[in-house]
Amino acid sequence: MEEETLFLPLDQLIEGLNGKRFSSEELTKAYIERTKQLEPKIKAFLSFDEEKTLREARASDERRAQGRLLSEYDGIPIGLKDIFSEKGQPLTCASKMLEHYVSPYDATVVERLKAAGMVLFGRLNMDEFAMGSSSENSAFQVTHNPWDVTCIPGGSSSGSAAAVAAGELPLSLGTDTGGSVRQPAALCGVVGIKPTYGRISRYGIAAFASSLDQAGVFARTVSGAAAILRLLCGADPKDATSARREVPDFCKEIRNNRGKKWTLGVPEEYFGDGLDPEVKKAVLAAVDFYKHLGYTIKPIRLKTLEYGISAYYIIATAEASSNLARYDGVRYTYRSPNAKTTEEMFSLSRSEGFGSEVKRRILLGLYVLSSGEYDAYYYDKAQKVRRLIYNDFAEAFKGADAIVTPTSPTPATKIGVKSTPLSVYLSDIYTVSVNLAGLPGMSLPCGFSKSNLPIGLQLIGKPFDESALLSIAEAFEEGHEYWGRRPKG
Amino acid sequence: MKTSADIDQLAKIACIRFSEEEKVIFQQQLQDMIGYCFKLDAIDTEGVEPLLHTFEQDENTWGEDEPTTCDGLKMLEQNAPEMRDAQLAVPKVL
Repeated sequence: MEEETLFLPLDQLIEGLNGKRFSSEELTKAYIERTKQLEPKIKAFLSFDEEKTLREARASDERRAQGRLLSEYDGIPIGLKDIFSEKGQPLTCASKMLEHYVSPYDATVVERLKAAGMVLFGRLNMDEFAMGSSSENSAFQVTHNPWDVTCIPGGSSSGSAAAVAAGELPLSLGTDTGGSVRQPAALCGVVGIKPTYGRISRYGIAAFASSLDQAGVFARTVSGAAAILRLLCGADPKDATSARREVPDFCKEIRNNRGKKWTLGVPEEYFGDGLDPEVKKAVLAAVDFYKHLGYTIKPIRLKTLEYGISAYYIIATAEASSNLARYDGVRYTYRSPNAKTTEEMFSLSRSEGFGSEVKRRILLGLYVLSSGEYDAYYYDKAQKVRRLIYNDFAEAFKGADAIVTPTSPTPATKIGVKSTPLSVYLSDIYTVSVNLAGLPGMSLPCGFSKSNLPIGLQLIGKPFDESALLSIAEAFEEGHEYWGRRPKG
Repeated sequence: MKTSADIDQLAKIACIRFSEEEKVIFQQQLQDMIGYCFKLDAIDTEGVEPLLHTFEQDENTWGEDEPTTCDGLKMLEQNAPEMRDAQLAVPKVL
């Protein structure tokens, strides 16, 4: 199979299967071959069950031969961040703590992918427990950016973005607590969308910060992301915070919205100090493109931007310190071999099982929950600031259909660059507020730096209005060829 | 977070042990992060209701009780570090 085929967008892969140009087994085998060839330098996968994957592909081909396809996506491979439960498969969260954990059940999103006949293709690397933005916090390996293997792919859904960018996969799932789908999508030059909080069930997804966590999709094109997003969204009795809202046919809505002249808000705070000039230029060129399409471009203010990082790191670490209390050496595979007492079982297992970043965040979370003028004073303060951020966005959306910003302040940086934890946190500035406000957000390629590294455009939408985001994103994609570029080698 | 007693206390409630060298590093890093995060103190939030969750459904989520099958023991056995007689085994408590 030719390399070009592996980079086809979802709709053309479906056409290929329907037109019998290739079978699901042939397609899956071709992705496996490419993965084997590239993995020594990309390192996107933590584990891969080849036999199971091919079995699923052959089962799809049989269904096709018998005329009983489960969906139009039947037989299409999709990868999973190593945070989603898939029965019988490992789930490590890239942590030594869960190195030997095997999922006893399927996450709701996995059930939905299986019900659609999709081929579940490998377990993808991430920052440990989704804490980080480079994969350098993975306990097992660092994933490399396919555009320049000396650079980070972003994170925490590092493998999910890198595998799609490298053509090892056409689609993948990630999770986004503070930008972990959008930022790696930007740095790897693919489309990544995180819907409104509550759109996708969190059942079966290892928890980091429960009021912020949301699953998301990586795809080569906007329509591919829209199609898989629709498959995943919807109420789930197993997750009381999943929204009982109608899920639109996003692809149909994109078609219906073609030619519509939207109003886009451009917040000046997102274009200030710290923004790389090349990123700024590419994002402003995108704004200009929309202007020429006849969109209304409206300068807006989001004055709470500067509070986002503080509020986010207080809330996320507080929730994480609670969620990660379950890893105590009793039930979740890792127990220190040196533990002789119950106290040692707890403390040695946690000391040996967690990496530095996870420990740092647990400490910060516990600190913010136990310090200040009264119990949980700073946690309470951060939740009040969260309300201000929410209100700030709500005000902006009174006069705009979506907000346009950069996704990341810089293109991908080099692997191994020494930086303080705080400086790494500050690079999340454009994405975290979206999670605090529970809004849908996406990143799509909008240019390349002089060193040929992708640049991402972030679109932020009103709650439950993913259709507008996807429609606006598709209009940009239609007018550019960035999505079709492939990394060399 | 001015004294090492704080990090000792946090380590205790986190159930994580740190070497003396680690304590120095973590303390400095925490200090930086706390210094940054606690800038929120300067923001006037008088009268602002905390936003605990952005998920605001107009009614509670209720469901019928339905019996389902779930082999909890098998699920535990698959991942527990140690089990004896179908129970989780831990080092002697007393």
